[in-house]
Amino acid sequence: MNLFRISSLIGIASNLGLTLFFLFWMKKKHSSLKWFVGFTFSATVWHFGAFVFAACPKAAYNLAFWGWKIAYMGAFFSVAFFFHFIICHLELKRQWIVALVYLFATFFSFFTWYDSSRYFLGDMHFVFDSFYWIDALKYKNPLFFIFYISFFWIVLGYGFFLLLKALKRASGTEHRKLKYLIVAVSIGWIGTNPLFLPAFRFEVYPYSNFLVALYPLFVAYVVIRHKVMDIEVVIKKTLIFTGLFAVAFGVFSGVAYLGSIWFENVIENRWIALVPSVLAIVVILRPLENFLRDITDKFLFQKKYDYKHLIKTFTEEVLTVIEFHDLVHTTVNKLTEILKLDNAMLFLYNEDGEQYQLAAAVLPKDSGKVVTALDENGAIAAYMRKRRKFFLLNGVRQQKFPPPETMKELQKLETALIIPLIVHNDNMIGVLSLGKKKSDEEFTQDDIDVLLPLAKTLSIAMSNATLFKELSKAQARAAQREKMAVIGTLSAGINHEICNPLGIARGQCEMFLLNMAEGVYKGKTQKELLAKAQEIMMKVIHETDRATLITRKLSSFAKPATGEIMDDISLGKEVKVVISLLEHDLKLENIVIKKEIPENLPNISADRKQLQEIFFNIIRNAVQSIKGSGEIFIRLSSNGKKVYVEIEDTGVGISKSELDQIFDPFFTTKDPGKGTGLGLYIVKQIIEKNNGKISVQSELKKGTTFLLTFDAI
Amino acid sequence: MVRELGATTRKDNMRNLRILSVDDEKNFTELLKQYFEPRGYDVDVSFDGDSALELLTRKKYDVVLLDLKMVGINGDELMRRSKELYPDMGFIFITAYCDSGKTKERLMKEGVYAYVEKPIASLKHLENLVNQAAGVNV
Repeated sequence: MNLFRISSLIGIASNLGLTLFFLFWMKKKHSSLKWFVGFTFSATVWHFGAFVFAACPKAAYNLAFWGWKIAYMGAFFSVAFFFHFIICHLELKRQWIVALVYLFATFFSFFTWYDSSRYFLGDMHFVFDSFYWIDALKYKNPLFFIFYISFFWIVLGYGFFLLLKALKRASGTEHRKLKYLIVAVSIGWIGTNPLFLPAFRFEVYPYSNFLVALYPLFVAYVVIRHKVMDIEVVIKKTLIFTGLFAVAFGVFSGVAYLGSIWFENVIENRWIALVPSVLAIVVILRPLENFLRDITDKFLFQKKYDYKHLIKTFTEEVLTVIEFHDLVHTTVNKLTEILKLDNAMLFLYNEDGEQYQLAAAVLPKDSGKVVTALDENGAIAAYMRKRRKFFLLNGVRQQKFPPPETMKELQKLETALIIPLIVHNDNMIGVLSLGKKKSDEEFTQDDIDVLLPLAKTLSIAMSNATLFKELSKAQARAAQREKMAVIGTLSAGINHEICNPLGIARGQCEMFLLNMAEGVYKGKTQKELLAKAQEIMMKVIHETDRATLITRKLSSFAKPATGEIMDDISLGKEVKVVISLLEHDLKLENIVIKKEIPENLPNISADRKQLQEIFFNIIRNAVQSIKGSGEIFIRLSSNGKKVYVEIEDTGVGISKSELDQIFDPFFTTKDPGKGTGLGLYIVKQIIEKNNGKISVQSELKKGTTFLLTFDAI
Repeated sequence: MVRELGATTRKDNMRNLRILSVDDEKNFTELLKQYFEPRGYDVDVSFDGDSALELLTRKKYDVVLLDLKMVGINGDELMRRSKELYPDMGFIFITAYCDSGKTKERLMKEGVYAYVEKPIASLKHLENLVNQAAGVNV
């Protein structure tokens, strides 16, 4: 047995094995995989031919020559198929070149079978005392052989060149994959060339056929390990099958072996031992299969699990966040965490700065200079706006590449996948840049299929959050306007409290002067007059104080709340201030406010003005719910740890279905266009900002009770 | 002095004019009482519409000085009801309620003698209005 024959046998085994493996498991006809199978099959043919001529003794000249013809065919077609595989993998459109290559391969293959072809092929000579080898120089006509070698060099060289070209543009995992493929081509190259030498009578033993034999194994390793092709299903099934087989076989042999000893000794029939082993296998097979599937899913194909997790997290945790700042940060954090990314950045459009500003980011610790904004018309933003869809940097499968400047900028960002965030189909509100996965795996089509709808949903959620932010602002402004309007309509109360004191003060003074002038005080002593004057001045002071007080209350109430000044607040005092502003008007509307405000309630920490606004709004709501006459009870109480404010009205009440919604944003029972003051959603938010809680109970036609709870200090 | 003369003239020649002041602002009714009584008017006060109506059913007044917005019966309602009793009684509204003159216009059409906005500019002027409303030549 010579070494060349051994290398051929290995070649047959490895290539045939691979061919069968791929053929058997290949469910989805992945285009490049198809050509790879063609390649391994052709390589099998080469090795088969080689084995045949290498096995022939000197006497079997004809059979050896037949082997050579087979080997030639295999060699031509392996080159053609491998070339096709490269073209397909790079998704290049070089169909006519591929066709040409196949044409040449077919032509040369059949040419060798032409009866007098040996005059072109050259004859064979017996080399190394072991086997026949082609002798290209026999008829001094090495033309065919030169064609043959040229075919190898040109086709593989061109494939090599295409791979190198793609390598230049690729980065990350795709770069690595291509590197492996280039190494593979090089091995094929290195393995093949020495085989030509004996044909030119250089006595170099064709050891390199070992390289050729093992070369498909190397390519297969690259294909599987680096997922050059999506053959996860193949690997998964193989693993499960192997596991099942191993366990089943193990159990079978174990039980059978142990059983045989036992049964032989006891009932002298070792075959009975097969029964329990078969039973054992039947029982454990199904759960074992499930277990193995779970294991492989979880450890090898964590993605599916991650998708579920990702979608769940997004729908339940992220997209429900209505506060903008939280939304963007949660998004970026969760994406990084679940997809296990190196980095992630979210840029959002800022109209003022005319740029996309970094709104949230997760960056590796050693990251250098961080890009904090993308210029609106800069290389990336302009490209993404024009492109309108995601761009996968590592993919060489892109048909079109961005301008080199954009590419450079994207690489600076350390982006692996960049997704434009588009709302209403026209407005690019932001850009989501995802870095490479920590595992160095590439973003697959599956990843993108999940990420794109998420990005779309995210855009909508952000757009909603923006609108909501604006709405909150508008609502706060509306609340302020409403407050001013309400102050205007408080005319009776305000005028009463201002005009009356002024009128009385003026009247008292005028009366004194008129009384003096008209002799009403005739006959009064100086002392009596002075006492009279004193009495009047006291009244004037009292009345002007009254007017001053109401003006102070008013101007303080009219100022917008900032929500930033936390003071020690006596709830009782603030409730009284609000009641005093409303009381007179309410009296005129036949609404009586009954208050129970105990002395010595603990203070709370809150923004005074915001608290006043809350009470004002809740009491106003109560007033509006009362048709005709009614009562509003305001009760304050405390258990030392908490301070409670109960505001109860005898109004129309709220139905059960509405009660569930009254704290929802945008909910109102009032007619459109009616002044709504602060929505109860905002009231709730303000209360929560002031470390309080609000709850409500209501019964139709009986009334509504709001309970506010604050932490005592 | 003319003013003093005016005051005494009526005192001498005629019965005192009877005024009813209706206002929920007690200090204000007190001021009117203090002003008018020394000048020969009989002044009754009432702090809401209901009690005013009760007083009116018992006794006729020459002039009623009343507020517009009050707890219970409002000023205009009070006027309408008292006019059923005494169609020729004079009404002067003294009120802090302001709505760009619409209410004033409406009330004037309903036969109100005068509509005075708080804070009142002059007690003297009010006295003149009271006299005119009562049909007294000053």
